[in-house]
Amino acid sequence: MTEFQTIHPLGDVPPQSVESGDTSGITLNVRHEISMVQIFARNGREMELAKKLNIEGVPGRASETRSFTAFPLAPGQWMLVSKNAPGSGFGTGIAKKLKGIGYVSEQSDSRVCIRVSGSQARELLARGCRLDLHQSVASKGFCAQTPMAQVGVLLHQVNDGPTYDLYVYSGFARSFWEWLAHTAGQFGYSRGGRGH
Amino acid sequence: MHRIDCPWCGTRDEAEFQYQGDATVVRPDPDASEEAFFRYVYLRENPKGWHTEWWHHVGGCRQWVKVVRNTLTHEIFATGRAQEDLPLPGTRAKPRRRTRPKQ
Amino acid sequence: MSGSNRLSKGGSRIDRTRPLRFRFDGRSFSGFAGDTLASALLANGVTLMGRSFKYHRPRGCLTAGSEEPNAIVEMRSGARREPNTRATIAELYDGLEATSQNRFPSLKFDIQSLNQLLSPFLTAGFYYKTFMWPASFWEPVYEKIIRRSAGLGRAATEPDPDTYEHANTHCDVLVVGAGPAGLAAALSAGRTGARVLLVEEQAAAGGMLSPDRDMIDGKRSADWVEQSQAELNALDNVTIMMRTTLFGYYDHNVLAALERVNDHVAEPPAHQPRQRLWTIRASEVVLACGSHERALTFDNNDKPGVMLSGAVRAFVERYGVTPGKRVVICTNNDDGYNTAEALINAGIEVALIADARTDLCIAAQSARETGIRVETGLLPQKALGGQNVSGLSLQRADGSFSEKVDCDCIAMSAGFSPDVHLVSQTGVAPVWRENVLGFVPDKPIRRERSAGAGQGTFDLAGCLAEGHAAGLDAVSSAGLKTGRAKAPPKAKAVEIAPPLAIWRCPGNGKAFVDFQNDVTARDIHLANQEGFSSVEHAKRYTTLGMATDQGKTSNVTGIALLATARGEPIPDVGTTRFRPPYSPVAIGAFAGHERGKEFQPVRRTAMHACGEKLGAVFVEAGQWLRPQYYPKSGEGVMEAIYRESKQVRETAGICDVSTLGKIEIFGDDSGEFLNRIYINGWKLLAPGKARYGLMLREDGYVFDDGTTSRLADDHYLMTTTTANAARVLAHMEHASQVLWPDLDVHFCSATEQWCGVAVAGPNARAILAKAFADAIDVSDEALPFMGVRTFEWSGTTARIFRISFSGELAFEVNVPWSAGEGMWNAIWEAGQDHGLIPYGTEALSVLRIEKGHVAGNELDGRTTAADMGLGKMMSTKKPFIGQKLAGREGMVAKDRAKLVGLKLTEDSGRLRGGAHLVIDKDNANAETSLGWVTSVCDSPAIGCWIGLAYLRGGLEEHDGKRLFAVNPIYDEAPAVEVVSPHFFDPQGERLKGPVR
Repeated sequence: MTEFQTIHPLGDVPPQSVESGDTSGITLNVRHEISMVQIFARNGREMELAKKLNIEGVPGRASETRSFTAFPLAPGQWMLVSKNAPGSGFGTGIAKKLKGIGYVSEQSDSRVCIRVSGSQARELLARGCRLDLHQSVASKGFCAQTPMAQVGVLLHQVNDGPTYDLYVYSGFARSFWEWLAHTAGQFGYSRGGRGH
Repeated sequence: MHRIDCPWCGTRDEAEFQYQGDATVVRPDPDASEEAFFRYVYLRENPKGWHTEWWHHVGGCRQWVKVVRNTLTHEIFATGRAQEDLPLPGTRAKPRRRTRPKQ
Repeated sequence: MSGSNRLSKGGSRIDRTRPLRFRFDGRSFSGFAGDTLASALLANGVTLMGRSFKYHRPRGCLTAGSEEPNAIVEMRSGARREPNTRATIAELYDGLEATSQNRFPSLKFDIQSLNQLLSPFLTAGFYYKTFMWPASFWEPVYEKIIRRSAGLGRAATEPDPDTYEHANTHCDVLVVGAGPAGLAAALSAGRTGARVLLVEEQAAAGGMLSPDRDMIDGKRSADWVEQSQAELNALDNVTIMMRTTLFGYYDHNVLAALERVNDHVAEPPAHQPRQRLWTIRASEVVLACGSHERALTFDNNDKPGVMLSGAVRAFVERYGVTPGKRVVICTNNDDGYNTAEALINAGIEVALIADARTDLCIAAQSARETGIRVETGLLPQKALGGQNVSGLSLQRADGSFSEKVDCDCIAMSAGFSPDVHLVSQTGVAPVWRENVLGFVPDKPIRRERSAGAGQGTFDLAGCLAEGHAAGLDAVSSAGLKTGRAKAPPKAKAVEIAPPLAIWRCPGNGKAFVDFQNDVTARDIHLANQEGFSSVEHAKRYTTLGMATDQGKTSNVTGIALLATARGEPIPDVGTTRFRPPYSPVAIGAFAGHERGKEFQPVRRTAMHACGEKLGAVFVEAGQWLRPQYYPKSGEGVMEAIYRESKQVRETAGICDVSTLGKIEIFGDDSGEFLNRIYINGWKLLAPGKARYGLMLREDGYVFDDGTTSRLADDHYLMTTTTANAARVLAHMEHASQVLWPDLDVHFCSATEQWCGVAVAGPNARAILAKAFADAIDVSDEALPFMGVRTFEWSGTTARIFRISFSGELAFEVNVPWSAGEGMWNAIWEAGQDHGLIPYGTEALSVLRIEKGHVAGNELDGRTTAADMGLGKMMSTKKPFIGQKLAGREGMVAKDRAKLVGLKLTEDSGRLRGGAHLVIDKDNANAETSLGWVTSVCDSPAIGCWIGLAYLRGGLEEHDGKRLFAVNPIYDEAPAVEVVSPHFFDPQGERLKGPVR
């Protein structure tokens, strides 16, 4: 068997940062070692599926379970994100559970996850995100699919810090990162260590 | 710039949608005449005023959204899922409200 | 006038402890922080700031705000040079550089001011009349003359070094304008806890308030403004954006504003944008936009030193600058007396107040009591002097001569036009109000309301009350609770006497209406005379209101003069509709980040670095970057492509095919769904097998093609062309959501999850057998043609497809993104003993042309399956999208252009795509064209240039015939032979491969 190094779409982004002035700035992290699957309920089995996985189908609200976070994408469709690395069998486990009631598409490599945190995170996102992220409207657990900087993004508010996870298509990841870093310059930003 | 109330995602900017034309035409049965298909593909009313249209939410949930929109004022009266029947203003009571995220 | 006009006291906006240096037309001056360029120039005695557009007349500033038509200058230099900046809003910074524009050779002496002598020929409609014929003169002669003389400053020729960005915000209540009405609205709305956004164009709030003379809640208005701002700033739910112009009011209460983040400094600090374009989504809007003062229309009313009355007052009170030492005030309304009071307070001589009205109003009486000379029923007739005003002759309304008065400044007011630009953008047609002498907003269409001078309320107490009420109304209209509101801010009630309509003062010289476009009262009269009497026609004929200031100071006067000319009341003439932007917005702001490298996002494949390492030249395929070819040192493009395509057929090649669209399809009804969207049948495709499929649009033309594999009973993987990936997905979503929601079929894109390579050539199997030894058996028995297998390799899931685009024995291998480089390297290493080379999109194209496979060039939206020679694929046993209309008479006509192959039969030269096929090359035209060439290549396998073409009658009529491929652009017409498009290995023996 040939052994090889896996690569990450943001693996070769050079480390940079911009000193923040009087603000506490922005921290950008890339979350590695996560698994993702997109799941579909068979026609008419949506409720059953949700119950089986103990998730909800309320648009705009992420469901947290012990082993993954579920983002409702569309009627009967979710993206499940697990903190287990790809290859840990997360997808096959879900597929087993959903046998007969739903379908699973492996998507771990389709998107990268960029974590944006810091007191100015909301302001930074407003430079590209058309959604209202104000604390009176969006709080912890808020999620949405929306384009930012011409790239489709799955956005998740992780906490009320606020911290956001941006799931960005792998092919666009480098371009998106460059836009994000360029835009974050005005607030000052740093790259955190390897996220999780 | 339109703001369209996606039945799944909530109100989003027009920029997230692709306009997909007339939602009042219905695809004929496969065994219908060539003439019926011709009408389905090519013939449009182009109304001045209220019209039911498709707006595909490609930047969001990727659902085909039905929108009752005034072609003159751009006012939107109602939106719904692909299989919903949406009344035009004045024809029936205002469509029911859905529970959905604020935006 | 020269010397210092800075007053020793006063100037609410300037900071006398912070002097600043600046340059105008090469001369050095100094001003104070808080000055505008205009106020600083006036302080230095510079009244001449520009030349007019058509006649090149000397001009000073007319206003003190963003409505300025005259004082427009070039700011900065080099790459940051920006034309058409209004000196009246350009904030002074240390080292500011500005240049006057529209003059040659200098501002003081402008050759083209001789245009004035030609002015009888330069009247309304001049361009239309003069530069009409001969047509051949247009480009070489007229256009050059017009361009040189009608320039509005020079844009920078170097790339703009600054960044501009976009930003988004949402609010319950948007308040536009931070004058007294706007502040009152923001306060009443903000106190309820609603999310309020207050935008103000200027750097300071307060609008037209006089800082010392106006009193609010018993305080100096300057203090009230400061306290109000402090209160608003302390509220978390309120955001104030200064230096922000709300320039567009769009559908559904989406508005756009330009924030000039760093226009007031020499250059933006590191990482900061110069300007920010905001998209605002507001539940409710309060428009407190104020009003624009109008000029009186008298002869030479454009002379430097003639200013709007409110502007004179603003320079004195805000900037501590007097525009003159002896001022005449001409007014038709009470506000002129305000200016008189401000001037007297500052110790400036008011020579005369000429009030057009015959009744002595209360304000006039009090002015007289303080010793100012007030004359009623007196109108300005002609400003006197050279480049600056030195006097004014006045007349009685009946035309009888009255007197001449010496002065160096004329403060004029013909009343105030409520600023209805934004409300007009929403589609509301403003209505005429005689007591206001202006247009005011009609009933709202959008969720907005106006307050204050913007709707014709000119007294301070009224503005405050309306603003307060509008703020609360906006909150409750947004569905929020207002709670118990505090009392509105109070000011002394003042009785304002009505203004008198004066649209043209006596005189027959040049009396300007639109200063920036040099439109005179006579031009408007002329337009009507020549039949351009509708307001929209007169506007375009005279160019009234079409300059960069959008006629803020001139439109109403222009309309009134047109009404006079037509002999009709003003409401019958109506207004033109205003459109965004309210004031000029730099293209850079609209572009934001989307320029240069960030113009659009770039999509990279997982194996991008592998291509780079091997020296690939990349090509844009939509947003993707793909290796186009891999030149060896010293090798030209054509040589590289030739070598790559040759060697693939001799040994083997590897090609990055990750960009193909990949859609994963699940569900019991997947097969039925594929049956309905593809023209061929899918029910019999067994798991582990792939099939080529062709899709039509509903109108019967070919839409896309690709292979779809059945991975499991209820699991398929579809591939699409790179170009159509997004369209195919949307098409399928329409089919599943709209047409057949009952089918149990679910799908999503997997394009970014999986990356892929094609390995093609006689040695492909040996290479893969080595690369994936122990992981997968790639023998013909284990993986026959069109076979598909999923396997585990080095801890990752991989998919292998025995499919071929090149016509060679070929495989495609897919692995998840993260394993892409690992897979490429493994195959690359294994291929070293087998002559493996990398090949790009060009060689890929050569190989498929040699096989007669259609691609993007042939899938042009006008071709049927039969045109491509794929008519037999159309199933008759099942319905599918496009079936019915594909059967139309014209779609199946015999003389349609059909796919054929072409061989160049000449020894030299080449074939070119786009060439037209004719029988007689000396008679080549649209009528004699039999078809067109779609794809060409220099084919190593065939040994000559070959091409694919659509030819009327196809092979049936033309097989073996000699035609000419005419290309008029290159002046070529090589002879070609019509052959089958399947040039190479027509029986497909190679792709099935010798069994080992």
